[in-house]
Amino acid sequence: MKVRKTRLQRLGPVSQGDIYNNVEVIDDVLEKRGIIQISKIVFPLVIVLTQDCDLEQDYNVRSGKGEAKDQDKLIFSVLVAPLYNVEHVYVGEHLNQLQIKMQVFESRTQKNNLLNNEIPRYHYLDISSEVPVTPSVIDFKHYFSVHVDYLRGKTKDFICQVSPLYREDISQRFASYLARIGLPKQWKEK
Amino acid sequence: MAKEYDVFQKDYATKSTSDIGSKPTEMRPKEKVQNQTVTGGVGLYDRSKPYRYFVRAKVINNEGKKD
Repeated sequence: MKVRKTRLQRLGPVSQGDIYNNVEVIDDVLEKRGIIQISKIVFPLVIVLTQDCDLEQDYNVRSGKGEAKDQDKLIFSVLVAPLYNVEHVYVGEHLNQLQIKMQVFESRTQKNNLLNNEIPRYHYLDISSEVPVTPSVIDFKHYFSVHVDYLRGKTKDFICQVSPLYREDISQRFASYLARIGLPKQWKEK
Repeated sequence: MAKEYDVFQKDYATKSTSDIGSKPTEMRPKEKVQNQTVTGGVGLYDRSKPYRYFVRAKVINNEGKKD
């Protein structure tokens, strides 16, 4: 599925569907004999999943642009999900630098299911050619949160924004994935 | 959704003046360029897969200070 991009520069607030480069998340913090070790994971590409209205309201509160009399609409973090190069996903090696072996998509049917967004966990994105991002897959299972100010500060790492309709599709599929009901295995097999 | 959008709108990018500069990624140590093992490329970016790095720091000794 070809996805349109809306813009290549961020206008102001962080928005749903924004794609950012090199987003860090703290994996672990250890303290031993006076030495602190912080382990960070850097994701080359992530997409913002938080609802746009929440982000806009938060931006208005933080920037003082709105007419709000309180900070009721302030949010602490933004939900994002990583994008992985689809070619790496096919061979299950997209997380090999984290020593994580992933599922391999061997057959053409498996690959087609991935590309046609028939697997709830993944969302395939082929962004228009003027954006320097290879065809990628969002992994909804790997969502995480980052601080709003951290993303706001990443203007240089803003890649593009997925255009409306397409991003709503992503949001709807993510919500659906998150709301799934896990049934015990024996029930699935029947 | 609070905003109204034209689905087929053209680009309307203008440079933001309200944004602050980025620091965390600029502070990370220089990395080796990763060799691609499969096709697909990574566009402009030197890294195409998530990776881990460590920051180590000493705890500041507050000896001599009493609560």
